[in-house]
Amino acid sequence: MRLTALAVAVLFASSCGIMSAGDDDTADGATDVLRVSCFGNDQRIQRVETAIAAFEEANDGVEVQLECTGFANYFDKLATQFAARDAPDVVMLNSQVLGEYAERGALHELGDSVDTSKFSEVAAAEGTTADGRFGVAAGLNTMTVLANREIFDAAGVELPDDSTWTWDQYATLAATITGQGAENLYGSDAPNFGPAFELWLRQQGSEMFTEDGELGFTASDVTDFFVYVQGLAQSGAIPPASIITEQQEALEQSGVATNKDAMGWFWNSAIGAVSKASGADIVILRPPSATGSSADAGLFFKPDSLWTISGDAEHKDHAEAFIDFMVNSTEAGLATLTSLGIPANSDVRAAIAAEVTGSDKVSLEYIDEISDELGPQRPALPSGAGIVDTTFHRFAMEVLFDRLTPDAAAGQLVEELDAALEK
Amino acid sequence: MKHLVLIGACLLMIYPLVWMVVSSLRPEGEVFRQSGLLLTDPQPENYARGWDALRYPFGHYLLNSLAVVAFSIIGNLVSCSMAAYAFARQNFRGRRLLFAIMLVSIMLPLHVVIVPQYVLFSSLGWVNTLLPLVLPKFLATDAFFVFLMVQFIRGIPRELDEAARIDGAGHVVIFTRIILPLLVPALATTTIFTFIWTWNDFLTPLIYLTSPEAYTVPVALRSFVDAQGETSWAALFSMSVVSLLPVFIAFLVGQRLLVKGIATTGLK
Amino acid sequence: MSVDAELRQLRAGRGGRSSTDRSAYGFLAPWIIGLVVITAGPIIASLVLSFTDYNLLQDPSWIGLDNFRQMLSDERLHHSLRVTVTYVVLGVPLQLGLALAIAVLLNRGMRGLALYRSVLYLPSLLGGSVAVAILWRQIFGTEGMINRALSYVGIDGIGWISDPRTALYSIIALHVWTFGAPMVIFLAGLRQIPTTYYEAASVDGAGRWHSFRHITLPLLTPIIFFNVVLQIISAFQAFTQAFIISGGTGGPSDSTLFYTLYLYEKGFGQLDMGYAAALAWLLLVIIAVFTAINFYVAKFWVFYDN
Repeated sequence: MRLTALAVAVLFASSCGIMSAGDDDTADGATDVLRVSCFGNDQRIQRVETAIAAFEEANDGVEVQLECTGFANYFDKLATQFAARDAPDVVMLNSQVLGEYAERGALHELGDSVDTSKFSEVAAAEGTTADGRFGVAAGLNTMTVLANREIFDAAGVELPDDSTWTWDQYATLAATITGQGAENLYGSDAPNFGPAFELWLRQQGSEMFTEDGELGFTASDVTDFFVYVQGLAQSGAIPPASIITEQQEALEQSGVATNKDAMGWFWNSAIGAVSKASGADIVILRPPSATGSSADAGLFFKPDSLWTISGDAEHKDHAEAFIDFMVNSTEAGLATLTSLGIPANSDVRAAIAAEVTGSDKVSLEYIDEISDELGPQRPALPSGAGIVDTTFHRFAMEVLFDRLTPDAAAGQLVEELDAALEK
Repeated sequence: MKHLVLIGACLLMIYPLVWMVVSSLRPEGEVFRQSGLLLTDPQPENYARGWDALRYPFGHYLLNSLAVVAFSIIGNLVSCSMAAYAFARQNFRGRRLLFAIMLVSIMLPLHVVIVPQYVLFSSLGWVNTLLPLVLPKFLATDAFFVFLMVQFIRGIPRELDEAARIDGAGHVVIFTRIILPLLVPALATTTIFTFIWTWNDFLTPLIYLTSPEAYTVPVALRSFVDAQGETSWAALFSMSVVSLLPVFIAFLVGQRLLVKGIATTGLK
Repeated sequence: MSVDAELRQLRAGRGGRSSTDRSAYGFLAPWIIGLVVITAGPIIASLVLSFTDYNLLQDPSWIGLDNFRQMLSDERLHHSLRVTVTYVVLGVPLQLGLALAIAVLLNRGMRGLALYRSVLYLPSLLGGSVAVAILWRQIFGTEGMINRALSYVGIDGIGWISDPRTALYSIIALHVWTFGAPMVIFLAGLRQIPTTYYEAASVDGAGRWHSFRHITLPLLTPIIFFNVVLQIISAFQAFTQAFIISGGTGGPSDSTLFYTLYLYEKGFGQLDMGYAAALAWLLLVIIAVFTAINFYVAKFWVFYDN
């Protein structure tokens, strides 16, 4: 009986908390409530909260209600809220889906309301579509090759010169490490297929998508890339397909992080997790190029997250002010550091440089280093293009599992993406 | 011999839990480098750190989950047993049709119902309250349990009802005095399953609870993870183990109720 | 009256129905309110949406039967159906058979019973959290528990869930492994069998097998029937294990692309909720057919004690 009484008491107490959660803040009629949604782990969200406190301090009469969750199913929740016309005012999206939301009329056009004058031209272009500006990069990321120095040393191979290496050299190097290293060690993880192909394509002067939202490549472009990938497998440069599958669930499970592969393809934000998991010295490298000059490598920024405003937002002015604060104020920058990606605003970047340490510092310096080597800005992904990375992954794996030839896989891939873009 | 087979089977069954506990004691990041059960450097402090790693102490999320679970159990027990009694023991127009509709209602995959249901609940202003999570349970929306209890009620000899009816008992009396006591095994099963399924449910609380204060355990666990950056695996694993404790205790208690069923039916 | 008897009546035309019990609607009130207020709306909405092009961000637009037409030539859909049917056909009988066998074994008076029951239920408690996803992948992985065990007998294992040839069967094995839920239901059903029956049988000198065959099994048929119906329904909707093990992709190489996984990818991954709704209704029809067959066949083997 005592147990039951206790259970009832606990129940009551906790349900009071849960029932009233987040509802009693509009009592004061003078404040406008701004709903902000974002994704990320709890640490990152706590950093965003610190920035928000600073924003609220600077903006009397605005109260931010933060609605954050982990990345898992974040977009499912968001799409559901949009469908019910119950979307938050400020919405964090990523570059995969921004085009879709913008094209479907779900987002408020920002115009010049958020200052991007301190952004590089390429960084400023992120979040714009053919119809205007709909999002601002919360932080920048770029595709890199991470190398595990200890495996290089053990195999007796020098780290490559990342400003001059080519795809062929990459393949040879990886195969050499596999050959000279210990058993069950490989020269390379499988490339991160979608982004790697995008670099490959940009080095030939094409883009994934045209300005009109069509595919910017043909099946034969993909075939070439798949043949290259297949070559990596045949020479032993990358592990067998089933091992690759096992390595791709979490950053910490990757071959580089588990000290099994010498090199792997990651967004620069991954370096912290990979370094920590491996315990080894992880070096950040530019991806290879076709010509042997990193200036031609077609590097690009891909924001991990972008700030946008829902088309139905009640207080668009506050929302714009919020985004401006988040991307341009030093205060917000010092609160979030590199947790949302490397800040795009160069002043903010300079301001936080002294504050960041370890792998964050490496990332920050790397982004600064490559800033003047970037290729042309990439057009926003059109609607339907959100599946491009998963589709590339699926068909590349079909090739690696020897279930489709590069030719057939490329053909089906183009067909599927075409159909998705048409929808 | 029988015990040997059972012990062998138990080892297989217990392995997942042992692996979880061992992983929760590993140094940060080692989970993926060590795949066996060998543990050289246990880190019990993972639990202390994990408990306080999120915005609220982990106990906060446990209490939230307990609240949802408790209401859900009460709701399912009351509403499903009532509906089951009607379906199993009473005559009324449309019974066959309503029973079929009830079964059909659980044949549609959850993912296409989410959006219309959210539209419904948000138009009622119930987002960020417990209502979308627990109110449906009070309305017998989980046909699984209704059907389960229908089958159990059918196993109860009708002579018992008839005898009571001859003594002048109405349906309410028959239901509460005769059927419910004999339904204990099914009620225990319902309690156990409602506990486990509600406790582990991730998507519903994720979608309906917007403020972190209201998060339940599975939502809180997901917020250890960062797909693009660092995840606190040690904290995640330790709290995952902690989150298994209440379900395990619930099962231990619930299965004792299952045993009670014997005593009750033995009385007959 | 049993459902199968009702079905018989349905075919034979109406009649034979005794007077309506008005208090039945009182007992049913919560369920009826739930149906009208909570359940029916979204179900009907999804049916309507299946005839539309709906991306969640814009209002749906009517496209008639286009979604269903598209399903005819959708090869990934056909593939996912094959995957799901394989899972149902192998997973359900294996899991139920094991659950029943163990429940019967555990029902005997035996030392440490509570402990065995709890331990056997353990894998079914785990749910689908991130840590559990890693756990299952680790167990079935190239360097996982299974391959370690195999290496003791000199077998070099493969990556069971990362090889397209074995991934689906690994998930089926996992499903069988988590037999706790039907086991508990069987146990509860066994508890309900009046002990007097067994006493009478033992007076008659019946052996164990005889009393199992002639008392336990017949009296348990309503519960077996329940498990068969519900396990088939839920196996067709299987989602969580495949989702967490394949990282949501249904991979490797679509080998674990369950029907609902594909539906989820269409609905939320590609924001093609109209098509997802159409997929859902096809699945509903498939499940309904299986369930109807189940109810029809039930009258030949399910025994009700009244």
